[in-house]
Amino acid sequence: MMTKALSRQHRIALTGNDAVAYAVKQARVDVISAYPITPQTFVVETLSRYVYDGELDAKFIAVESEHSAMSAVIGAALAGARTFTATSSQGLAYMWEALYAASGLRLPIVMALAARALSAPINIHNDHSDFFGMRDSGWIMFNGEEAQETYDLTIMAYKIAEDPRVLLPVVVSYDGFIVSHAISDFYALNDDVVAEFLGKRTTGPKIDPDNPRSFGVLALQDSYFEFKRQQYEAMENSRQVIREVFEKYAEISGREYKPLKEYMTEDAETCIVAMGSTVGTARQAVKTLREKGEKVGVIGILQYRPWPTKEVEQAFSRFKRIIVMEKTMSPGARAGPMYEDIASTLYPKHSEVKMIDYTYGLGGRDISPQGIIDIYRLGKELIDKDKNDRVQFYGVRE
Amino acid sequence: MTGAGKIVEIKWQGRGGQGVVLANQLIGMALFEEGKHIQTFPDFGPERTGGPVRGYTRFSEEPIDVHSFVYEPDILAVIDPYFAEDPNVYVGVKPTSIVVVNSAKKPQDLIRKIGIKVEKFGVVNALKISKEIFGTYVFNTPVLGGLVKLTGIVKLETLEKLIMSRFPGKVGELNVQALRRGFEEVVT
Repeated sequence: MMTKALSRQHRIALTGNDAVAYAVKQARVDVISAYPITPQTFVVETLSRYVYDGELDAKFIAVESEHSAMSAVIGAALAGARTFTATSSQGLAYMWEALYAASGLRLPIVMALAARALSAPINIHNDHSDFFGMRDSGWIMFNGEEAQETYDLTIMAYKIAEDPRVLLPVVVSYDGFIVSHAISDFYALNDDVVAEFLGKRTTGPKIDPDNPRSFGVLALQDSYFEFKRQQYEAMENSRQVIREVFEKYAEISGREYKPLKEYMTEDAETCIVAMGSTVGTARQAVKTLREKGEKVGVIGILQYRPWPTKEVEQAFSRFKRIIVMEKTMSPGARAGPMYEDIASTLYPKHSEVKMIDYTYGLGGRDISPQGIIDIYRLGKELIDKDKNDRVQFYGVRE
Repeated sequence: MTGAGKIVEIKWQGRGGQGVVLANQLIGMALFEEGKHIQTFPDFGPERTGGPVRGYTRFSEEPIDVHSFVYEPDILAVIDPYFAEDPNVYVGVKPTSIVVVNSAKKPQDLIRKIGIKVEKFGVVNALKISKEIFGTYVFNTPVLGGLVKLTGIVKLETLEKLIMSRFPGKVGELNVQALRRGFEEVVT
């Protein structure tokens, strides 16, 4: 399978941003709308060049804010277009209202998010605060570890979003600067392979003058709840669709995706959980720890919404200890969002598994393999002493 | 320098406007052209001319997992002549590291001043080279030439082709000259 798959692709080195733009070009989108100023990334700059140079036959709508960018792709998606937008940080926050409109209207929009910290204080660097802020917006949410995953997920996102069983928007997030501005090598599918995989958008709501219908209607006490119930079901349906798309994509690319990325977990007693670029750094740390005889593995969360409940229960119930690393902060909560998701999946059936939550890396504070080794040792010790009832902070001066 | 599973780490240190990001990208892309797995990224602070800028490149025969900054570089290139004399710039440098700096001073004098022990310490007089070629200060390509000479991690021709494709015409030609002079004139 691999040899056949390799003949369908080419080796390339691009930044994470350009990898996304490349995937979007190959997906032959019809409409791109973006606010082209900070906190935007090079994704839309590269796409606007593709459009200007005639490499991509799309309409590029530069707007005056992210709220308008999302609103413009909502309009275009309602007209039947395949659409794309990208943002970061405050831009996503400013889009918030329209995020719910996109999912409520059941529009297969795809958005790239170079995950970055939120103000105040002002910061341009990576954490996952913006990403987790859209947790309940009804979007399917993926997180790429590096350029390869981000590129692949962007292509698959269209296939998933446009499936008639789903019709929901998808966000593909990747770490700001660490991935977005780093050049790395990966395999890109040939244009014709992507074209054949995705085809043209044929599904979803479409404004048609010959067949007039209303969209974005007022739905009060007697019908709003029914709309929302269907939206919930669409997200549930996406589980199966995502599985199918991952399988089909593996056939053409040779790369197999799963909601969870497991590494050295087979006989592990302790598992480190992370998201984004930290997953790779954690694998490096686990290699070192294994050489010293520590029974530790790592699981990366690739698919965040829908939360892979079954897979999480199966994977995590066999560990003694779980150390969750979160690049976000949830002030006043018991723990960060990933900890709560895992805990609520394991409880009450597997409540013997002990967990601890670490906040790290806010505002771009770097995490090294040694940092993850420290978190492993500290976390393990606190769990074994039953001192795991509070969120821990790693790498902060206090 | 590479072997199975080994990752080689390069760190660039300079100031905004000196071409740290570009030199870092060029070496990364040259390594990619020669078949290596690469990861090349800048460490931006506030993006302003004159402020310190670092760039990092990793390369390996295998895919690269780690995504943190480079703390213990195997190869260190210092583009700014004042940084070349600052001991803080050399924190994390190992006895096996190769260092190339831009300076008008002698390698032995700098080593004594900084107080480090490394595998190789090379000095490129990029001030002189770039004055003669460009009539102004262009530090990154001469230092890059010196780095290639001391480390041998890529062929000079690979970089020359990359520079010419990125900057066709006069700008490219002058930078290729600067690269070659750095390669030829680096002293250890």
